[in-house]
Amino acid sequence: MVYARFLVRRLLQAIPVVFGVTIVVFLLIHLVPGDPARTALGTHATPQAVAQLHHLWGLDKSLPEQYWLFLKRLLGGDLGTSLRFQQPAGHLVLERMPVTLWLLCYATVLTCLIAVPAALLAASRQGALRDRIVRLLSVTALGIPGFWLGLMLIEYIAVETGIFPSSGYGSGFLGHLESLFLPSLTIAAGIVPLVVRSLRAETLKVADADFVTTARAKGLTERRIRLRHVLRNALAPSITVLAVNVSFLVGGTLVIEQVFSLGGVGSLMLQGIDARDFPIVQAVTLILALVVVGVNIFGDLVQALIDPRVEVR
Amino acid sequence: MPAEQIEGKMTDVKTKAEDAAPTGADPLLSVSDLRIELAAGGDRIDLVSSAALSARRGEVVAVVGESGSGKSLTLRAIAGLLPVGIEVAGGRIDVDGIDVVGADAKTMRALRGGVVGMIFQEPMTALNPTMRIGAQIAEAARAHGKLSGGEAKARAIELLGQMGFTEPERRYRLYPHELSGGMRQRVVIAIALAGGPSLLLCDEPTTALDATVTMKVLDLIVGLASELDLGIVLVTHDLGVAARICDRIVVMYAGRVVEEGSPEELLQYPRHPYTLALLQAVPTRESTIEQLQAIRGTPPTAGEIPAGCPFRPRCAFAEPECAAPVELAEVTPGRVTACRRQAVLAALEERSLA
Repeated sequence: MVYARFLVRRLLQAIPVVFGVTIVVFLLIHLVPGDPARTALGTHATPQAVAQLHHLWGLDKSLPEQYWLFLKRLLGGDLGTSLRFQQPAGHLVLERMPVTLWLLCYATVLTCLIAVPAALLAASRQGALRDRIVRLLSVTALGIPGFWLGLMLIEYIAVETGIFPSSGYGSGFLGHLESLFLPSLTIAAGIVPLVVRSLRAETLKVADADFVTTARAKGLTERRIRLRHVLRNALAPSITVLAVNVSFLVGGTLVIEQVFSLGGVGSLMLQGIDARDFPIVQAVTLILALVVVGVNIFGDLVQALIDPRVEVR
Repeated sequence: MPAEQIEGKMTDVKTKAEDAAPTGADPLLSVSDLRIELAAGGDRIDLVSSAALSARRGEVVAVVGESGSGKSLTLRAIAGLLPVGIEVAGGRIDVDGIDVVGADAKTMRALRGGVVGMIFQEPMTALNPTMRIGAQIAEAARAHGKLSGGEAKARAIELLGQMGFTEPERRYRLYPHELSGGMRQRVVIAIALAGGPSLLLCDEPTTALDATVTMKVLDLIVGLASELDLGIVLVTHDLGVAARICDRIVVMYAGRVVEEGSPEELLQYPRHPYTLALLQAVPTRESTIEQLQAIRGTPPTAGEIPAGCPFRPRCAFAEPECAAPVELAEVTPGRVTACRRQAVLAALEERSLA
């Protein structure tokens, strides 16, 4: 019940955020030079034809008027019609969503699988060789651009060894799991260092806490102390770091989708920008903004589940 | 049975003085010649240079002294809970027949919680904020003795009841932040007792609590100890607390024991100038603020402790000979002091009595 109220409240709070994002994107895309009608009709189109198309698409109206129309349609559940594909934009986006969501979730899981053991290993002995190696690798990974890492993984793992495919989405759960491994790993590589850094620092801090001494005084095994007492308390702040960065990565996935030729929302977005297909860009932005909000709410929920002092209101 | 008690104290003193195997009743805890060092970057600094301590079942021993006197470190060494970088460098610690200094990790795990229970100073930070209090107690019970999850839970609820919690089944599910400081300290005590220890170490257990709760918590600890026949070592800087609940007081200064005796004798007729100075610094209802005497100077920092009697630079009774090393010596049965001028103090006593 508490959690249901929390969810409703957070979703209501998210509405202005999401609208704010759509306004900014709406204005930005119209600032970019280029004309969808001209793109559609070709360079030799007559001014009359262009004007006609403008009228048909509602582009001859003023910007506030256009945005108002967009909002009105949105309230009716309509994200507009793609200028280029002449299909409902919302439908086009949702069709591509599974790939992107898969990538995001897969990358998040991989991040946890890599970052948690690495941070625990590093923090198990501060300043030791293993700690220095983990920290060195983190800094290095932080400096590697995602698209370059993606290309290297395609070249040296997908092509050379053939263990993982270099592109495509695969079919079925296992197929996705295999096909999306390299792209997800590429995305994860961007956040793992940040999570490792945060979790390592928190673990070291918590390891000095009085309640860890209490746990030791109980005669517990070192393993139980680390997992039950230290990790659990170190995790909560790191989850915020993870949530913030996963939302940041929603943008990053767009590029990685392109590198691995995945027909996700990212490639749709790029095509939309290319063709000045305003409704598509708007629809993608809106839905990704919702995803970001969702990720953050989920992060807060997990944090509240781990730490009872975090109030869910 | 006062005769028996006095006899017990005599054997204790003998143990300390001769550093030999205990004679008569086996003490539950025996610490002798304990040296604790800070091993930082090649330099070794003595933090505790000669601590000696003993406790029998059913006995409450107070260790008093200023901050930095090494009393808390001595206590932590007994449970093998010294902070990283601080080590036992010499001496013996025996608890219930277990040699703590030479013990391996597995023995130490069995010792902590199972033989030695520990109560900490700060109940606000001594509990895991993300675990229910019941689970924290049950976990301690399960670490010793083969208990199923349900049995451990029942034991935790029983302990909460003994700690004075009403509706222990419901309280089992609370988190530490939902409890007051005094209640949290009761949980800490329950954790310390969950493994069925025979020795209870209390590191300033009431310092962080407000005055109204202090006596309740102390009475709880002492009551349980006599009920369960536990030995208790209580580190405190509150002489009032020590006087009220202890059978024996050990005074530490600059990492060594300087005086030991029963509260009646030690607090009435101190045989070490440091104990005397401590007493003169305690406010009482009869004394005016002008009569309170702060001890002049500051306690020496570890690594800069003067040779001979460490209290010498601050002592009103010091003479040049005090620069020579001084050992703990028995003055009357059950009383030891490390002051070569203790006769002067005794003379003062007699004058004030006359």
